[in-house]
Amino acid sequence: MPHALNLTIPIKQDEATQKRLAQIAAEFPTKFQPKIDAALKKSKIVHFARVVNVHNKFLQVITEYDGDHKAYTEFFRKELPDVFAALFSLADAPSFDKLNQEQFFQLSKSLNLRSLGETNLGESDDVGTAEGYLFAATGNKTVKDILAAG
Amino acid sequence: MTGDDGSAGRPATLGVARWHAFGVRAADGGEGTMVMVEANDVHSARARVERKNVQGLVFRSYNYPLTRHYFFQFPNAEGARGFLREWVPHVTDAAQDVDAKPDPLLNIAFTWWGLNKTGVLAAATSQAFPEDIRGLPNAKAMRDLGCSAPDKWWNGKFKTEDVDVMLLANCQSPASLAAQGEAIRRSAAEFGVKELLPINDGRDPLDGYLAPGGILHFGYRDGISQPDVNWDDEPNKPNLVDRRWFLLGYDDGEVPWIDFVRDGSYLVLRWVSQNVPAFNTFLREKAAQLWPHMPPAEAQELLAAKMMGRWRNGTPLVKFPDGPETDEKKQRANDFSYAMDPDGVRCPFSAHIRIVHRRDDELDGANSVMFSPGTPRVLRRGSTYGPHLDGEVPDGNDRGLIGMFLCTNIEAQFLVLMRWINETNFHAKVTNFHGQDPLFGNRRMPSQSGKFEFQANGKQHVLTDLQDFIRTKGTLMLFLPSMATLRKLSA
Repeated sequence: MPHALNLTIPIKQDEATQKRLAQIAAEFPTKFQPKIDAALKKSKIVHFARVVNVHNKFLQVITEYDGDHKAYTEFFRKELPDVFAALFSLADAPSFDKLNQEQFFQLSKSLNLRSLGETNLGESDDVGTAEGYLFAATGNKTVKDILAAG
Repeated sequence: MTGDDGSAGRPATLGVARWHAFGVRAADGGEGTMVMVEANDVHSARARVERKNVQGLVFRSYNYPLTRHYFFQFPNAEGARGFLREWVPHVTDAAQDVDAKPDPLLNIAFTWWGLNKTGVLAAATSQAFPEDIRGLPNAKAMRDLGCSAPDKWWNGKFKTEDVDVMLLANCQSPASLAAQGEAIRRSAAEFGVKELLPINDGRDPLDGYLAPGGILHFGYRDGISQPDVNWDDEPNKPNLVDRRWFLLGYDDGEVPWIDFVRDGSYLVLRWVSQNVPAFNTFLREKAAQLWPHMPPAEAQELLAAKMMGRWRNGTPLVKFPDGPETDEKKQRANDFSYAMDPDGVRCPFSAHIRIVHRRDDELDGANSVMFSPGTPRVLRRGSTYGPHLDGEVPDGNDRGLIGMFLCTNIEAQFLVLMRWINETNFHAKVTNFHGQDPLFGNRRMPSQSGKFEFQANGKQHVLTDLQDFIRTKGTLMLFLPSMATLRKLSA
């Protein structure tokens, strides 16, 4: 069953951070993209993923994934430390290498913006309220279901 | 969870590892003496565990005939500490010779809010503990849906958040249980500590007993295997399980708060009702459909075995697929690997024991990253409750299990197993991505298939219409402190 991640990282506005943002953006296709690609393929829990720079003020990691948010974040904490270290280095956040499982989850939870509306897919969030609206043409099908169907 | 456990491995994620980065330093103030953060003695990470500092429940199952779970609510810090001062000296530690049957035994565990009510921890500390222990039990992760939902727990007599502390009594006789109970209640009354009673319309506590012959209500033999733990971190013991799965405070390089938690453990209490008539009816009807030419009792045993992964007398399917063994040693066999059954021909992938202890089964991509090289392990303790019932006619009595699961990372150990029970898609080879543990899965889960797929007698079978055979009646996420910390909490 797909869930939405709308991880929205506020980017610091100082000159050094903005320079680093430009560098990350420039290096993204060669340095980060292949790593993300490999990890997502391996995971078989991510439907779609992209990283969006919102006018140099926010960086958004937007994905649709299967399963629990907590388990999902732990996979990426372990599998993509370089990518998240780079992304979090732009924010007023603790250094990624100092974040353990719980802290990374709490940080990602606090940065995850709820979509408007309510899900039609029957899932609730961690506090029991319905998740935000997410349309899925494939309904409750997981990545594994879709891949298995060919 | 019942059934299986027991192989080597080192925890991939540890509870304490999460704490040190906060560097929280408590200060004096408020009620009582605040615990100060102390620098960690790095040598302790390799130290022998001091048995006298660990509550006995961690080291072993007591196997006493009677178990009582007292749930209490503290009135305030003063009342909490007064009550604890009376009972902490009676707590059973791991150095005591339980084989000599001292009577009664006592252990004490706290909810996070109960721990804070003692006034010993500074408020800032709460941020340093994992959310799993600080918050209410994560019903979503445990798939406690429908009639298992938290608003129906505790027979509606109190709320989870009302419970501050659990006193666990293990006794040899009803007289011992009654005498200890009288003393505990007298003490509770003296300090204004309120007892929370979930049974008999709020008149009785939650009592369990040692199942005769280890046979639980669905007819399965329990207590066959537990992890053999390398409690003293001895080198060259590859067949023993790392103590860091079960004892807090031994993670390498830890600093703040490690002294407070060292030799403690997290204890998850699960009160689970078992629907014996529904289970027996299911076995009879489905077994007759599957194998109409087989003697009914034999067919039902085969189906029950496929659901558990062991014949009901304990004999593991992987080693003995053709029938239950009469030899005690073979019944208790634990020396098997799923490499002997890589495609789930003998033991289905979604059989209970293949979920809660995957042994050498390969995990899928995401899970292999999260749990490599280990696999989630917990120590199981517990008792059964309610009268035995044969047959399919409801007798109006409630019966089931009171399980306790010890671990150091509730999320990475206990909750992961609960997720796997409810969606068995974690195996690399599983093709039924929405299957569930046929015994313990919650069928209200939106995406579950309701199907149990397995092979028997050379044929592939798909059972549909799996039912809810169990119902969650209460859950507590507790901290079981060391003896030293218990004394601090009561000082």
